[in-house]
Amino acid sequence: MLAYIIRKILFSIIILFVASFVIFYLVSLSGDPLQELALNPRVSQEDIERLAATYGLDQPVYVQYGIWIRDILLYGDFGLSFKQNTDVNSIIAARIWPTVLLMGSSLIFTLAIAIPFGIYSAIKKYSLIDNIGTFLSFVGFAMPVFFLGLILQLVFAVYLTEWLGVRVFYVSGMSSRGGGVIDLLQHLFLPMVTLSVVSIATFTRFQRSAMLDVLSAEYLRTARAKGLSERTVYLKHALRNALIPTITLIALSAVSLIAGAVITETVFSWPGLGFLLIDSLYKGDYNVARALLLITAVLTVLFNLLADIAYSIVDPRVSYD
Amino acid sequence: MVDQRRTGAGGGIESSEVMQAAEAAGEEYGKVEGRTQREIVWRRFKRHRLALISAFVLILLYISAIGAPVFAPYGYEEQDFTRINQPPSAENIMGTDRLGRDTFSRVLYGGRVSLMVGLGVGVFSTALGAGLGIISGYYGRAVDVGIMGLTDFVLVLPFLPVMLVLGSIFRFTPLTITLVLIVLIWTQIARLVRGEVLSLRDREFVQAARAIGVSDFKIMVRHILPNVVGVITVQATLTVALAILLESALSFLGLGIQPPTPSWGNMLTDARTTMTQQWWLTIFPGMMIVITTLCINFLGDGLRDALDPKAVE
Repeated sequence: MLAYIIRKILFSIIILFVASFVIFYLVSLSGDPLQELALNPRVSQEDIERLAATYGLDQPVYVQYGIWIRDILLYGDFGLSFKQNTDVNSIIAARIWPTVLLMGSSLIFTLAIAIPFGIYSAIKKYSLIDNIGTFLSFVGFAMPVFFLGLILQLVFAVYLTEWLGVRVFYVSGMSSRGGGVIDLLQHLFLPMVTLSVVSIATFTRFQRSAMLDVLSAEYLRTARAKGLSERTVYLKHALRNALIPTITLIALSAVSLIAGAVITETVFSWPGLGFLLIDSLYKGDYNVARALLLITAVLTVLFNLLADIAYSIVDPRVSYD
Repeated sequence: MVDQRRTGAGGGIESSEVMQAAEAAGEEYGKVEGRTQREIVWRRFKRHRLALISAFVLILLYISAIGAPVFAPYGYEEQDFTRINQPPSAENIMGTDRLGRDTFSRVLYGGRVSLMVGLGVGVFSTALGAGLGIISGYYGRAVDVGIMGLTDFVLVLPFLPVMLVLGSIFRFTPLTITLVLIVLIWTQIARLVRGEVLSLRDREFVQAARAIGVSDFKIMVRHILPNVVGVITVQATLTVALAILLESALSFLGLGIQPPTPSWGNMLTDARTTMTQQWWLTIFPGMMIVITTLCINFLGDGLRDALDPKAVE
C-alpha cells in the first residue's frame, strides 16, 4: 500500500517536470514578448537587448527553463510580468481569493443539492421525481458551461431586471464600488450556479447509485429487522456508508471544476485566476500564463493522485501492484 | 344430440384455436431460436424510445451538416447590409447578425465543423485506444507496461492547459483540433478495453484458436475484438459528445476554430456582445450543442443497455 502510494507520487513528480518543460517551451513558441517594443521607433536596439538580458530572453530555451524552474522551486518566485510593471507573484496573489470563493461556494452548493436529491432518488427509485432528476442530469451533462452562463445572464440579469425594474443579479465582475456582503452575493450567485450545474448532475447520479448499492446490503435488513425506524435506518446506517464514495468523487471532480472555473470566470468576467489565464494568453503576458498553467497542471496531477489514493483506501479491491 | 353437436362443434373450435395458438407459439419459438446477435441487440435497442429518437435526430443533424451547401439558403460569409440584426422571420428563420449574415446558414455550416470534429475524434481516438488496449491486454508483460505507462502519462497530462497553449500557438483548424483531441482522448478507452481483454485472453476459445495455429493478429481481430465491441461502441458515442463539448468550449474562448469559419462555439463568442438585443444569435447555436450532446448521450445509454450481454430479455 505504502509502496503503491510512493510509486504514484514519484510518477506524478516526473510527469510534472515533463509537463512544466512542455508548458514553458510551448509558451515561448507562441511569440516573442519584445516584438511589440522592437516595432516602436522610440525604443533603441540597445534598450531591447538590455531588456532581453533582464528577462533572460537572450539565453537558449533550456537555460531559461532551468532558471525559471529553479526560482520557482527554491524561492517560489514566478518571475516578472512582460506586460505589467510588477512580478507575477503579486499579480496572481490578488486573484486567488475570487477563485477560491467561487469554487468553494460552488462545491458547497453542489453538495447541498446533490446529496439529499441523490439519496431521495435512490429511496424512491423510478418515482416521478427520480425520473425527472434522471432527465435533468442528462440535460446537465449535455449543457456546455459557457452556454448555460449566457442563458442565465440573459434570463436572470437582463429579463428579470427589466421585469422587476430592480437589479437583483449582476453579470460581470465581483463587486460594485462600496458594496457589502449582499452586493458580493448578488455578483457571486450566477457564476456559482453556472459552475455547479454539471457537478450537480454528476454528484446526484453518483450519490444515487452509491445509495442504491448500500440499500441492498444485508446490514440494512438487519437494522430493519431489529425494529429501527425507517428514518434511523436511512440516516444512520445507509447514509454514512453511501457518503464515502462521494468524498472520493470530490477529489476527482476538482479537475473538471478547474476547467469549468476558467470558462465560467471568462463568461462572467469574474476577476479570478481562470479569467487571468485566458487574458494573459490573449495579451501575450507569457510569464503570467506559464505560472497559471503550471499551477493548473500541479492541481490536476495532485487531485488525480488524491483521487487514486482515496479510491484505493475506500475500495479494498483495488490492487496495489 | 344438438347439445352434443354443439359441444362437439365447440370442442372443434376450441381445438382449432389451440392448434392455431400452438402454431403461433411454434412460429414464435422458431423465431426466438433463429434470432442472431444483431437482431437481439436491435430488439433491445428499439425498446429504448429516447435512444431511438435520438439516433433519428442525430442522423438528421449529420445529413444537414454534410449537405450544408445544399440546404443552407445563404453562404456562411454572405453579407447583406440591408438586413442586419433581423429577428427570426420567414426569410431568415434564425435571424441575421450584425453583418447581415443568415444565422440558420451559419448554424448549418458551424454544425459541419462541430459534428465532423466530434465524429472524427470519436472514430479515430476509439480506434487508437481500442487497438492499443487490445495489444496491451493480449501480449501483457513488457508491451503492457510500455503501453499502459504511456496511457497513464497522457491521462494525467493537464488537459486544459495543454489545449489552451496549443490553441494560442497554432490557431486551430478543424483538422488540427481533431488531431490534438484524438491524441489526448484515447486513453480512457485503452484502459477499459485492456481490462476486458485481460479477462478474455486465457479463455478456452482463445486457447483453442491458439492451439490450432491461428496467428496472434487474427486472434485479436476475429476472436477478441467481437467480445469487446460493446464496450467500445458505448465509449465511442460518449467520446463524440465529449469532443463536441471540448471543441465548442475552446472555440468559445477564442482558442479553437477561428472565424470566419463558423463553429457553434465561436458563434456564441460573436453573439456575446449584443446578446441582450439579439437573443437569437445566442440561443440557436447554443441549443444545437445541447441537442446534439443530449442525443449522443441518450444514444450511448440505449446502446449500453442493448449491448450488455448480462441483460435479460
